Amino acid sequence: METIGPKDAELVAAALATTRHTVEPAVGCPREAFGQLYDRHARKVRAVVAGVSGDWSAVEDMTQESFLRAYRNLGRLREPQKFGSWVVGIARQVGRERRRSLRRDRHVFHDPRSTVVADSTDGEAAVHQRDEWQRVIERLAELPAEERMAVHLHFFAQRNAQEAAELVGLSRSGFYALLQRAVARLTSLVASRETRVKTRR
Amino acid sequence: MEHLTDEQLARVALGLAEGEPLAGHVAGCAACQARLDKVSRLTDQLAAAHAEVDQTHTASRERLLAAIQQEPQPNRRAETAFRLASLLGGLNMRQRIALGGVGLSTAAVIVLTLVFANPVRELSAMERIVKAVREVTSCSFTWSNRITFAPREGKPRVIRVQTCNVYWRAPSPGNEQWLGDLAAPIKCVQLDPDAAGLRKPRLRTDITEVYPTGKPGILINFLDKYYFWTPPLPASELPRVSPMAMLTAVRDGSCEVIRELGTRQIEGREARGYILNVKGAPAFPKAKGNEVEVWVDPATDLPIQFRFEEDNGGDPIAVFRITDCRWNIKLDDSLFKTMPPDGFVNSTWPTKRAKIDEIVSALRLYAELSGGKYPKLLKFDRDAVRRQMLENAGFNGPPQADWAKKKKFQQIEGAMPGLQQLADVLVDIWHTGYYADKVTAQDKDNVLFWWPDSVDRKYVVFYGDLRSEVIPGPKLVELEPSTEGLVVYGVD
Repeated sequence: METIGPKDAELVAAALATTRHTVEPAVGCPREAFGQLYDRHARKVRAVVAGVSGDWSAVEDMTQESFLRAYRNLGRLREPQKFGSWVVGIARQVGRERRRSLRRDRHVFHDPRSTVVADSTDGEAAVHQRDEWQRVIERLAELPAEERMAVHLHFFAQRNAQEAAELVGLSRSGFYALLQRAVARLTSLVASRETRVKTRR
Repeated sequence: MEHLTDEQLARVALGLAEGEPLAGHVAGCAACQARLDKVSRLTDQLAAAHAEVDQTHTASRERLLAAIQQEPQPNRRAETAFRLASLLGGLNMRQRIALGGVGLSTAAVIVLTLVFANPVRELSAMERIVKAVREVTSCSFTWSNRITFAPREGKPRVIRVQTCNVYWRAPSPGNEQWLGDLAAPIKCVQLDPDAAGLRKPRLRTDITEVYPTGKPGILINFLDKYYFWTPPLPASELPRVSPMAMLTAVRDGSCEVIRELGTRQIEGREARGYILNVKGAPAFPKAKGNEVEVWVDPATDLPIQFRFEEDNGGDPIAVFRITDCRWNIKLDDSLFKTMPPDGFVNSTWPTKRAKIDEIVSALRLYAELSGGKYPKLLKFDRDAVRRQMLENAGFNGPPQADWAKKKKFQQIEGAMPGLQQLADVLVDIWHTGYYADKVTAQDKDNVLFWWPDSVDRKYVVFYGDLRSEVIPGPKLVELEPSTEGLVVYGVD
């Protein structure tokens, strides 16, 4: 897919620049250049950290951590044009660390609702709706990692199937097949949990 | 047209079926429409949940940019303290995955990276180590675990020694890929004290695992005389208790050198020793004091020995060692052969639908004949189950010639292949489970039996009503808590 605006390599060079005049005007200051890299790649980083870690509640924190690490190590990036795949690699590592940390601390109660944006002014219906999302998101964590990743990529990466497929190492049709399987399984998981809840009641 | 499958409905709900006949079917089928509504509701909820997080993009961007304001300006030539991430950054993904499979080689890179991360050391030493390890074409080492149990009820303590010889080699000399053949004969000997206090060795485990590069592997159990084939071994799925995983996982930990031990003769060589702090490294969750001892050959920059003790509150005392590390040695091809011994039972779990259906049909028939129960046997024996089925169906006493003409008898005989399949799979009780002692046909949501999925290292489970599905390890543990400790894939 053709990138609109400055290429990643230009943005990386700009973010590394120590003085303003070494940067192309279109790119902006170093900080802004890094901001543009964030705009371009944050969605897929969110998808990757959510998919790898299975921890929806910490998606934004993990995304921040991934970009911070990328920034700190920007000078070591040998191929600036590959910033996207590089930051995704960092995101995978951040996601794995989170997953391990959750396993170590699994006795700690964690309420995923506590960190998701939740204005309570929008009435009972909206709260109920958000509760439903949460139930879906909780079941999502039970999917196999690659299926979970496919769902997040589809909904975060703005349905850019080509990019999503590349991130999971599949063809476009292979990615769609994985996505369909994931949604079908998730539907079944949500239904079975609802049935279980009703039975208990 | 038949009703749509769940996946076809998902396709429609995701908007991927435009112009396909699927959507047309849904429009004319009330049942499918009702199911589609549920799936569509779910995809809407997913979209909304993701959109909500996306809405924080601008605020998160500001937070990030504020945070990097506090960071030093990144420098093209910045060389901060050596860490694994930077070391591996120069490798492509395949090499990184393969590095995990190499295990000891990886561990060497990591451990030595960490060892020499001490800022007082010169950079050139690190470069030499990396070069040395990258040029490794083969290695072998011995992993041992000596567990000493505290005396119980006046009986002398039991000592168990597990030993594993690990062999690894690159597919060809000079191969830049770090993929390699892996073989690991594992023995566990228990030293039980007799009445006189003398300890006699008793072999408890005698298995060999072989994983040729990119090909199916094999596990052979010489004590119980069975084997099973496994999918090619990806590094990320190494059992957490294996020495390879333990070494590989050092890579992911935030280890640091906390003490130098000076030089000492180790295995006949002069070696330099270090204590690593492994706090947070998953492979060493119980390392006493979070410390691992490592000895390095200063002449080759390669490790010679590792040692750590597990902290179990004093009972049992478990000491792990990796010794006899040999690098760039000639390893015989026979080590990596995957030929099962003659006469051993093939307990590989079935993958073909037809074979699985045979098992399900056999159990369903048994349940029909026994009021919903499944065969309860400590050791699943096909012929014993057949006898029970015949008795339940009224075929008592010596075999009669006219039985063969009766439909029920024919059905029971037809169930034999399925029962044999199940009997073979259940030989390997460590990778399968069967709970007919507590699960009947009425317990439709309880796990009746399970085995590992051969494709993606999950688990195939069969419920009391003989439905089946593939689930990840954590879910299996949730559904059947007795699997905790047995299940490896996906559970830390």
